[in-house]
Amino acid sequence: MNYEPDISLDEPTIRVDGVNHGYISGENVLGDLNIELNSGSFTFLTGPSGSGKTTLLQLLYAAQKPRNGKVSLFGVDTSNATRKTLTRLRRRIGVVYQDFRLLNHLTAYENAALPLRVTGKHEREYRDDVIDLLNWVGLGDRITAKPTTLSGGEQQRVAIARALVNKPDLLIADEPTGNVDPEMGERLMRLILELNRRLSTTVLIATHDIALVDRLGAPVVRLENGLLVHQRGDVGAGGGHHV
Amino acid sequence: MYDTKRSPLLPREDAREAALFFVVAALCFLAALTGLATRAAYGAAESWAGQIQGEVTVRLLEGSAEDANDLATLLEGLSGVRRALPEDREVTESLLEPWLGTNLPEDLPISRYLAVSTVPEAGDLTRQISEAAEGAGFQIEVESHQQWANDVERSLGILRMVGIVALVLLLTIVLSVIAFATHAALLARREVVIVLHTCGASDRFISRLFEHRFFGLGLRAGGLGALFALLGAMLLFFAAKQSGDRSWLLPQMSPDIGTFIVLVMTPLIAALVAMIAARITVTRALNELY
Repeated sequence: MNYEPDISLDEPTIRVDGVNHGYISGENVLGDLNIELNSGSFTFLTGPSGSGKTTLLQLLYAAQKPRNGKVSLFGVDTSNATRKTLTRLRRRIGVVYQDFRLLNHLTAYENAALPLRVTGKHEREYRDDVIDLLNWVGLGDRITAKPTTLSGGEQQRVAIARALVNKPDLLIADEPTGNVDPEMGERLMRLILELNRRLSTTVLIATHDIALVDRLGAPVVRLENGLLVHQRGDVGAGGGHHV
Repeated sequence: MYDTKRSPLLPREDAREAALFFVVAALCFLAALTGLATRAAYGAAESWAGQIQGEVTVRLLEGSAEDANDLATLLEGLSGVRRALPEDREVTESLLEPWLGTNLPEDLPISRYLAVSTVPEAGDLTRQISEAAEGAGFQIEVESHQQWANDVERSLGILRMVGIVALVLLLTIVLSVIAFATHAALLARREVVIVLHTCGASDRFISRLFEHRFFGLGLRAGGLGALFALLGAMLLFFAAKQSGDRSWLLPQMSPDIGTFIVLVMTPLIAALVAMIAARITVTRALNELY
């Protein structure tokens, strides 16, 4: 019988302990990282291109396992987790990819509803919620459109709707406002903040937008060459941080 | 109102799957034809064996035509003997013609033969016939065609073996081809699989998508292959009809329940093999993906 560890909300949502990670060639991408994000916290991840942000995010949404060290999500060590446990973890995480990763053969509505569909929920249970969410991100008239017919900004909004549709406990977003105009960027950030406040969703956003980081005043983790070079705010101190 | 008719999660078939469809259809055609041919040949051989096993030749070493008639009457009284018929002298002479030539002298003592037909359930009556004849003072030899029957039995075994080996080989090829195609399809849709995984799809959920896809492909391709095999079988059937007396040279194709079973089972087995191949391949490939 497989031991299935409990996923706990009492544990820090994210705990990174001495993680070293690199390519198969041996080149190190992340070096000796220690980060802890508590439940309900809102954190920015910044750093120049190639600093290891995307690799760190991949470790955090369990798309990769660390070469050394430990990544724990909701108290579960992803290195030792069974595939079933990883699936359970992923169902509690919403991810916005920098390149959106929408499925081109599905409509905007079907893409947004994907996290609910793959868990076996019947469409009548979520149909109205998905349409409401798409309306909220300004895509009410584009729900039947395929991604190839959507602009970059519209695709990004579909990707955000997909990440938020199942009200995740952890939202990981890689440049979520990178392709939208400032007005839509503000609107999307308000949606994410609302999710953080109302549902205590832990949020980690990778961004280059320093103005956005400064405006929200949230804790910041800054990476350079795979190393943690700067922390601002309540990261790792426990207790969580609400913006 | 938004039409909520859902698109399949895996993109629709591409050119590779169309090619795979024809490969599987061709293999199923060969498998069904092999099944039908083996069955027909097996049926024909069984029919020959049945005929041989129901006949015994009795050679009366010394005696007149009257003696042969008396022996026939005696043998017909035995349990399990359906009929005993003395062969005419002309028939016996024609049998000896290759060795003794024609126009044999009337006074040349030649053996007389009796064709004895038995009921199939009676089994080997050699001993009973010998004892009854010798008890009545006849000197005879009994040939139950056992050696020939054994040869036919051996041929039947070989036929069965060849048929099974051919079918297993073809099914293995179907399995390998589908496994290869599933792996290629999975790699081609790697991004889709990763997105599904990240959205919380379980391995089993993803595996089912591929299983469903390849089960359908196997069923349709198998059906097409079986249909072509049926046409091939019908062609042979009509060729046998046209051949008249020489029809025994062709396999005994006949549209009966066995033919129906072979044709129905072919697409079902192809679909199941395709589904199993897809499941094994996807499960293994998913483990390699992360």
